[in-house]
Amino acid sequence: MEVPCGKMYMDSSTKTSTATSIGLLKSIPGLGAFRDHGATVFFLALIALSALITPNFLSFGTLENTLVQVFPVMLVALGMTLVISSGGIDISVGAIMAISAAVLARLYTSGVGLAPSIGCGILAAGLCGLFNGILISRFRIQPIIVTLVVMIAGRGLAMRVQGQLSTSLEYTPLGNFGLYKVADKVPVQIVIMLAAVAIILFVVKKTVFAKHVEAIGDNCRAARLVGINTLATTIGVYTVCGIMCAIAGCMEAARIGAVNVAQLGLFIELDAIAAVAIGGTPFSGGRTRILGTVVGAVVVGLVTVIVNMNDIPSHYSMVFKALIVVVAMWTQRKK
Amino acid sequence: MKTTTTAKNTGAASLIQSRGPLVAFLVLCAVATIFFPTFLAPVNLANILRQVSLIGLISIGMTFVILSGGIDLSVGSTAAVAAVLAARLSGEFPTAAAVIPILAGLCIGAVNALLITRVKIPPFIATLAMMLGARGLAFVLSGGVPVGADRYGRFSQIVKSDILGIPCVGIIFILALGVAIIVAKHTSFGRSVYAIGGNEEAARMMGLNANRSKLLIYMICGGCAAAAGMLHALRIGSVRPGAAEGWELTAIAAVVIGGTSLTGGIGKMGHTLYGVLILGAIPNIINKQGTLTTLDNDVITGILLLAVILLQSRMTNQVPSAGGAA
Repeated sequence: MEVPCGKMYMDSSTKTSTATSIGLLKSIPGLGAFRDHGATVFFLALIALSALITPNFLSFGTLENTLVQVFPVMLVALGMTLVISSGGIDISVGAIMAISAAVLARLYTSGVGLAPSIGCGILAAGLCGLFNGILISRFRIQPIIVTLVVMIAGRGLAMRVQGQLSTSLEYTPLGNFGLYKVADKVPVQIVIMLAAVAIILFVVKKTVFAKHVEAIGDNCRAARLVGINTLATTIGVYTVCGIMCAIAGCMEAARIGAVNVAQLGLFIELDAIAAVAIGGTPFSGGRTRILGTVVGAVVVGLVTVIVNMNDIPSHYSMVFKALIVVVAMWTQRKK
Repeated sequence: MKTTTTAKNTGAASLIQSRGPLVAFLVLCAVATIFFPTFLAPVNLANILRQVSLIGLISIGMTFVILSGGIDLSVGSTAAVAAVLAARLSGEFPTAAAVIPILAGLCIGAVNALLITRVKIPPFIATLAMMLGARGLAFVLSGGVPVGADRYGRFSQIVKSDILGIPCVGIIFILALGVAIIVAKHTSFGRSVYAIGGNEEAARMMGLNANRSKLLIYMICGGCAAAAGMLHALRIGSVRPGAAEGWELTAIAAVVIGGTSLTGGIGKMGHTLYGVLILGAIPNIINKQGTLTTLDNDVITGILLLAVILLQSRMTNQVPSAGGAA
């Protein structure tokens, strides 16, 4: 019977060179530690640098601001980490955010209650993830092309769902929720973010599902042959990613106070992938470094905040992010 | 049991596989003409060609990259950098405005190749980082504001004109495609592209200098993107630093619709033409239809892409896959 494992990710040479190089790598003292904690090093270096050059940097205001801004990237990056450790990729995350937000907006402004609207938004995103997962595992199409299709078509679909390009949510309870602070001190985004990180961390460390995901990422055929249900696991991974996008999308809708399907979550896949790259999860799959991604996401968010606070034109943040990703990949490579 | 059905289907399947994209394009044209008789008018066809030529140029370079098993997400940003450079230089230094942007594209391509071969970053990540970096560079070079190009210079006039009713950019595209087809089929470089895409380890073991080939491949891709950006600047006359956003996805879609496999080693340079034309025909038809919008255009492109992929995967599944690591 056909083994449902297509070529998951297009890098042909890194897999074969891995086996021979790990032995070499272990022999270099200290390098292993840097590899494992590269993201943290970056993070601390970035903090130190900005504390020096930016006035008022080390304050709670900055911290709060950064974390709130980082919220969507963090959530999407968490889902992305699982997908990447399964050996795949998901570039449709922005479009899925837009779809779920559009469903939310359409239902909510038509009078449906808040909770059911959000529920349907999450359901819609879950369906997108399901779609991705089925095409990738059952039809053995490469993840990048499947998610490319959803990325291309998704926003158009979202517009059809919403009936218009942009829906305003201002002056609604949802719009206010986006600015809500728990106990009047902690923005609700930070609370949700911490909860999401905790849940995903639990899933990765304690569940068999996560072990299966890593097995598939490491060697899909072998995983299948030992009896892992690659079909179900792959579908599960992309669905989880979709759900994370839904939460991010709905909260973004709440924060911005409107749903513009062309703008919501635009380019977030770049930031999310950058966060995962900085965090050290290998793109060939097989390992999941959730805490690395968390730090990576904060680094990505920090770049934007630092650029803003120093009155540097915002497009420089793109250059900095690109440089950080390259350096991160370089330090974490297997020689 | 499987072998007999494969043998029976070989006739039709191989016909579709070898000429599939052309068939698809002809079918599309036929359907379009039924609904909109003006579709086949020479003016309309020339328009389509005019619209797709720049993306087509990029797709040529992208085809080489994808055939070699890689991908280049930075082409849009490279085109933007080239466009800004061309716009900046076009007033006082018309010749430089034609040359410097191409050089910039070649350099960006070279950096991509170095990141992939020396720093060993997967092509997806490397070119993603370059996409960000080059976009930032485009903003920096333009100062964040739209840059005006010299609309009345010699080059600009040539680029915007038609020769015998065929748009000049179309001629450039077709010529470039012709050269690319010859290179892909009849040079050792072209064969090395297919070899690397088919099985890079085996290619290296055969003595192929894969790193050098990749350098050329990504430089060609960067050069094509830069040429497209430069022509864009000369044609439009004013370049936003955010120009050419999303072009990389359209180029990838064109290459894939043209039958080139993303895993590398399979595909024909010439078929990219059909992918490009199909992607140009769709917005044209949507325009004629009148009620759909740009976002709907994307939905249709997405569905079409999906259909092609499913078809491709069905056909390659009939062929026993070569072994090798997952």
